[in-house]
Amino acid sequence: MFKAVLADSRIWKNVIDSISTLVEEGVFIADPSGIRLRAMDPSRVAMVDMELPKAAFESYDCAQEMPIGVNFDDMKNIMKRTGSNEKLELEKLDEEARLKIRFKGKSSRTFSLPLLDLGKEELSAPRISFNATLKIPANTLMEAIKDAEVVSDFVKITAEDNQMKIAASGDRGEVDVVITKESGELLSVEQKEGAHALYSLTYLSKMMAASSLSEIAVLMFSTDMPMRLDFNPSSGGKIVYYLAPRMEAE
Amino acid sequence: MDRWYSSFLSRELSSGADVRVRSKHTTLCIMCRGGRRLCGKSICPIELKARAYIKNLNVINTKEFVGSSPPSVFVGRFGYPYVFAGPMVPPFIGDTEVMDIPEAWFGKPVETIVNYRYSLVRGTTRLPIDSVRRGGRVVESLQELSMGSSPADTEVEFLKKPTDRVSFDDNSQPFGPSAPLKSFDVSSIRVDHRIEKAYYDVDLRAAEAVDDLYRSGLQVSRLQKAFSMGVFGLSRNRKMVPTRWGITAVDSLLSKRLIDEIKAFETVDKYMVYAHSYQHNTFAAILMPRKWSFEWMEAWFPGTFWNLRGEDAAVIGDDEGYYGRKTYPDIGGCYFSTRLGVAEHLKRLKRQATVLVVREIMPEFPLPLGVWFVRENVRSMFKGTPRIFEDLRSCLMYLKDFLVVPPSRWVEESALLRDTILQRRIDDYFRRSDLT
Repeated sequence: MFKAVLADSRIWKNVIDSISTLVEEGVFIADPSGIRLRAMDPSRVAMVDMELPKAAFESYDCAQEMPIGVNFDDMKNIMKRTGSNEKLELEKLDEEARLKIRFKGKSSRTFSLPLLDLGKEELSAPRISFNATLKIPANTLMEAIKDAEVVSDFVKITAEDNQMKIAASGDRGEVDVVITKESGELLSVEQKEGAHALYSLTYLSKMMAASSLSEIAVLMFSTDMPMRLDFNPSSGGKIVYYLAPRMEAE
Repeated sequence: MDRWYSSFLSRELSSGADVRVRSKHTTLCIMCRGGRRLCGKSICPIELKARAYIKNLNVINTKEFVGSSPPSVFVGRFGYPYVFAGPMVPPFIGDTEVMDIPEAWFGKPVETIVNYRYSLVRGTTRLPIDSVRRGGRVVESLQELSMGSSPADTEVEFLKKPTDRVSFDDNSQPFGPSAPLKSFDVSSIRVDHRIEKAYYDVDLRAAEAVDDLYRSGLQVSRLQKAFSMGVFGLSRNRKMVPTRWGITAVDSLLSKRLIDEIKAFETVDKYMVYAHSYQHNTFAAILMPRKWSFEWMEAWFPGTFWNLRGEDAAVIGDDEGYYGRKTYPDIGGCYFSTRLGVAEHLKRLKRQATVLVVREIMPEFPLPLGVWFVRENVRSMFKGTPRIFEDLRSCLMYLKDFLVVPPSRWVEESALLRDTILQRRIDDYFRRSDLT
């Protein structure tokens, strides 16, 4: 049996939005330490790695590991129904292939979501070291991505000389965004060497769904290597995305 | 314009027909007079259409006649939400069924197909699209015709002779004569009982109805016909849909549903290549061992309809990722006709794949014939035996001998090929031990 209570149901709503942006269905693993999920998008270009530890919950009760396979569209639609000032209760009995989702506010509303038996593709996270780590307000990153989307489907991200550059070009024009420490927007930068890589804007903008969980994003990457993008909600837990790079055409 | 075409139509023109011709290649046509094929096409498209037209001229040079409708109805798109709708009737009695079943046209000479189009006289009457909700004799007769399963003798009376305003240019789709309808009467018609059942079910959504009927084995063209006459859907939503839009709507919705289904299947194991040539068109497809995504591209060579004066082949295309697309593809309705052919094939294979389909249109191809031509060619292509390859490069090398546009150009133009080549996957960054 698994039962967990979140003080604010919107946290779970945001978590679901952050996952469903990439994945149609997936398996949460609930165990005594918390809930986690790792899943890849159908094209296997991006991965989401989510964790909500026991401490993030108001109460948490799970005696042994339990897979919870869900269709994220369905869960997303249920979570759309939550309002502010509601608690969330998630409950699954051992023998039932259903997850009870209960909103507790002025009234108590219980949805029952049929679970999927998805088998288990236990993914490990890619083990890569990153040459550059940039910490920036999620909103700044989102605006830069939107700027780039005006002219292209891909964006080149560069970290050098303690600056972050976001550039895109295409038939529709060119755009350059520079984010510096001096302006206060680049909160911190650590880099072993200069780094630059090309990424798909379609995926990047999908991954910005997690900005509702955290005002700060941590972006890590190396030249022509995958990007890791972290969002750490203040209430605990993490949403981490990995995005494979795109090679530049010769 | 000079009556240059009188040279090849002299005998036909002695009947006194007034034929007006337009061409985008004015001087070229005058020099050629249909005889020297200066435009590079295998048949002069003007001659082709004019002959078909004149062949039927004597019989339709009248304000009323009785003929066997295949059965067929047409809903025009101009004036929407009012439409010019009406029966399509040839000026003769007989087994005319094939004249409005594009599925049966595949393999027939272009002349025959053009002749079908020009034999059907289109009566028009202006109706608001929602008139199907109010009923009435005209609308109900048209709906019956659209549900018909065999030719129906139809008496038509026009306000004027259907000879006016037939213009021939060298590139448009063949379209027969039309005239405003005074009245029409369908003697007796056998409607398809499966379609009729959906017609009486006013709580069945149009998408469900079309999908159910398709799965019960009805031809796509029959569904498109009935769909455009608003015989499906919730009673309060029923409306006429211009034939052109209806064809695309049905192709789009049927393929969408098949794609949802094939996403439950494993991906193909290897790269599979199909190729097919037909009437100066070449089609080729690459199925890649990845989850569903799709791209449809056309290369129009100089001298073809969409690229009259270009120096080089004009290549255009549209694509969708795993989750489909939200905007209408620039390339047009053929995108969905192709997607239907692809989805049908994947369903048969019980597999999903990333699929690129390309088409090359040679200058000899006389004129565009409609999206059915693409759908039936794609279907026919997938009946062939695929060549199996280990990687994309080998597929492109193989196709190099089959296609005229070189692989490098396809790669340059194709979002899907570029993505396959340039976009890395997360899997590439796992250590080998992680993948076991």
